[in-house]
Amino acid sequence: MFPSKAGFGFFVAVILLWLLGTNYENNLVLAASFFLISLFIISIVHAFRNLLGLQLTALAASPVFAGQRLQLPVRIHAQGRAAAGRLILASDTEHSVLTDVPAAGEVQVELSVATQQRGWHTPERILVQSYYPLGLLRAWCWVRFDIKLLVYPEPLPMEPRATSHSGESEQHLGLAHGDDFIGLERYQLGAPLAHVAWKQYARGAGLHTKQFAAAQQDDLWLDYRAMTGDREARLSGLCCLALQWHRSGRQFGLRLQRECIAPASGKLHLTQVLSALALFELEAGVQ
Amino acid sequence: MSLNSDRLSRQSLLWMLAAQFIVLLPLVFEVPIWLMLLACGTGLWRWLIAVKQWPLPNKLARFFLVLAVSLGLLLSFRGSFGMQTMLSLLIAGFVLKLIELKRPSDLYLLCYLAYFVTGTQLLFAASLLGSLYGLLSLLAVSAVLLTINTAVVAPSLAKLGKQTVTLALQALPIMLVLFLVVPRIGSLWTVPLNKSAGVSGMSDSMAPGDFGHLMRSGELAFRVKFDEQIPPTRQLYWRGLVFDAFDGRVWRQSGSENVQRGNASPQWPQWRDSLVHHGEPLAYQVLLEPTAKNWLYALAAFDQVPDNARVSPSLTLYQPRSVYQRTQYRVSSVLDYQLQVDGLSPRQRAMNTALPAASNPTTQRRARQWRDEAATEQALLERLLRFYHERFHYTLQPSRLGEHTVDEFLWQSQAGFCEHFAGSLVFFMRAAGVPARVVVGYQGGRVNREQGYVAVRQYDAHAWAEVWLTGKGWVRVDPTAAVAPERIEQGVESSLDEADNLLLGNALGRRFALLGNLQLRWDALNYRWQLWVMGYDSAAQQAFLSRWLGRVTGWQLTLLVMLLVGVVAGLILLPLLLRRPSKSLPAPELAYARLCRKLERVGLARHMGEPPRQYAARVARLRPDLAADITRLTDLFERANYAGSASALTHLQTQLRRFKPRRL
Repeated sequence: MFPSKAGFGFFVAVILLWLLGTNYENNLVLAASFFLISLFIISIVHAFRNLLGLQLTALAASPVFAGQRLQLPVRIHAQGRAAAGRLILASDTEHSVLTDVPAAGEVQVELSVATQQRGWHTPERILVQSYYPLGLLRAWCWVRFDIKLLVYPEPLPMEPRATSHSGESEQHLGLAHGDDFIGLERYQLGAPLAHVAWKQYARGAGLHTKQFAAAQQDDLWLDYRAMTGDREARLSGLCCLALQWHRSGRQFGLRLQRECIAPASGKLHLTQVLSALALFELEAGVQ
Repeated sequence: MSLNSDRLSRQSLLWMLAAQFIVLLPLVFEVPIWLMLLACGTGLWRWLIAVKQWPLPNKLARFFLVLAVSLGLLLSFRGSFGMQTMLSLLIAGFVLKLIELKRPSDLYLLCYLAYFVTGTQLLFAASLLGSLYGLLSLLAVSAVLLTINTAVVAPSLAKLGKQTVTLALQALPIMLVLFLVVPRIGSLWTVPLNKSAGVSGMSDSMAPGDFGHLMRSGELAFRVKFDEQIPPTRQLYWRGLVFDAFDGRVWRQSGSENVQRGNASPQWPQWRDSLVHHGEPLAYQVLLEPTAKNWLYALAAFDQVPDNARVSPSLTLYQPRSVYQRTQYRVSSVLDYQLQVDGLSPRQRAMNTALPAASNPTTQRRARQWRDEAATEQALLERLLRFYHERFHYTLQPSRLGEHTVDEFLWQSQAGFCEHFAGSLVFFMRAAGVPARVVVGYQGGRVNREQGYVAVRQYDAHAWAEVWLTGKGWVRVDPTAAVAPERIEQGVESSLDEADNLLLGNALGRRFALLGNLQLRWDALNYRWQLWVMGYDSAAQQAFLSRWLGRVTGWQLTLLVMLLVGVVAGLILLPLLLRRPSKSLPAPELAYARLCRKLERVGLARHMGEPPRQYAARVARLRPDLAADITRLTDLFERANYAGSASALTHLQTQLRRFKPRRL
């Protein structure tokens, strides 16, 4: 706790008032200056009290790509605070959020946290501060959340290498889906909308997806070994491709060094793939 | 998500404007009126800017405003510098800052200015009511600061008010102690409160009509508390100045008497011998309202006077500096005395019989005639007083007097009040060759029996005469008493008829018993306030401290203050610190707290703020036998708490019941 800039200004005002009272030998003016000093002293207690009894909990955040800002939901739980001054939560100098916390109860705010690397990210310490009650004092504390947040690799466009280590590579990475329609299959959650048989649906036959022969036989594969560059560059490239293919509603699988995810499509699949990319070959230390 | 504390909320602005209004209101008459109008105007303007989303004035507009205000101030004060100039400057700053108010941080400066202006407001009005108003102003300004820092969602007026009052109530005990113990240093440099124009009271001369003016004011002049019995009202002649020079119209002090210039020649002890006391001295304390003059009021003749006061040979009590603040002084007087019985010096005699030759010829002629007819000076005086008693009447509305005021008064109009009576009597006696002089001051006062003091107001202003008689010295002669004895016995209002009474200041309070009574009580309260709060100077402080604390050093005092501050802070924080984690915690946290307590019992207390995982790792390292349990439980807790999993919570709760770590 320390006087704020405004607090030092307040001191100047008090001193001037005291001088005025002393010079005119006017007890009332002196009393006014003493009153202001007392207000300052009391506000130390209140500033302390505004932070006392607060419990901050970081909740699960939806993952982002490295370099993006992560919106971290934070639950602020208060108990037995008398007053409810505003709090300023800051994850860094530019990003802060103002919030009210009820005297007892809880409130949820979203903090913007910077990310740099893929993998498990533990946010920097968070600054919780308050100028309550009169803005003369800054009370603050640092909070470090014991939480791991998933950060995907940064998607960077990269063309896969023409030749691949494995024999099947051409099929893996070619524009390998045929147009041969082979039949319909019941719609499953997450299937690309582009493949929905809208005609049948319109006829009242329910949701179905069209099955194409080439897609069935010749799924797309994200292959780590087919990429160029260092590990991070490869992962970024794969990440970018995964997003592209997901957007165009294709089925694709993932092959990393040892891991392998079977071809599929849908949001859940994408999440799995991206998570695998994010956590690939993480040194123990990074965790 | 940006920090929106950079925007000034409308609520803060409204509060600021309201606080500004409250702070400036009592100062309306202290500064040029145009400045006040400007303040109101800019306030309104700023409010419209906020409401109607008008743009703030640009640099050029601001420049011209500053120029106009500076010019206005220059013209209003023309280089004189006093309290009012400073105040006007402050208010000008206040006003100009208002229109460039953008961010909350600008509000701080305005608030500090407002605090300071409140201080000056207290300088001008120090009554109990004024003090309470000052407190209100301080609170209003503090509320503005509070709005900038309290909840983002603007709290209601009542809530904000409550917060402010709470803060103030907690601050008051600390303030009280500071007020009692912080030493008073005394004036560092002299600063005149150029308020003399506003102070009503006696001036250093007496022209026709002066007193009539004064008697229309119900303002307090001073209050007196006697140590013992209060003497009868007819003996309470509060002596102010002695006028011994007349120019045909105005009575003044002669050069040798002029206390304003501080040249009332010999010092008190030297000529004290010419004063003969009979009887016991009467001790009393006077609380004098600011007069902007350097003389004091007391009963003749003085015995003990304050250390810094001086006494002139004609018995005027004065002090080197003018009274700009309410002043307390102690005097003891002997009511029965003889002054200069042994005779006057030729110079004094000449001074006290001098008259302008051509003025009031009728009176001069009659006076000589009466003198020749009278056997003694005493007989002459008695005849004159009888003349007054038989022919004159007392009124506050005398007819206007022309060039020869005394002639017209004595032989034509024969109606007037104290100044006419005293002036004419002195003139007449002088014309008859008897040394005489005019004394001005106050007569009587309202006795507040409950509190045992006398309150003297401006309408108690009085003028009487002193005549020097062989063998008796200076004798007080009050011709008003000869005309309207009830004026002296019971106070001025009883000697006037209805119409005149209405002219007296504060007619209402004097006419209705209940109001009068209330006024007395209010006055008593004010008196206490003045005596205890305003009069608490370093001497009173010393007395207070030694009475309650014995001999204390500065260090001990500092320690005491700090102790008190600690106690107050403790009292505020106590309810919070005593509170244990209660049911208000979310269920997962509650369960986790139970887990921690269980582990604490086996000597594995969780550190303050230790993250659960770290704690679990530490426990696992120290107690490998508990490693599996603690890891699982922490896992469940995390899932329950952070992911909001209900099943995890149930698992956590059931497994926790079974978890019974044993001490090694």
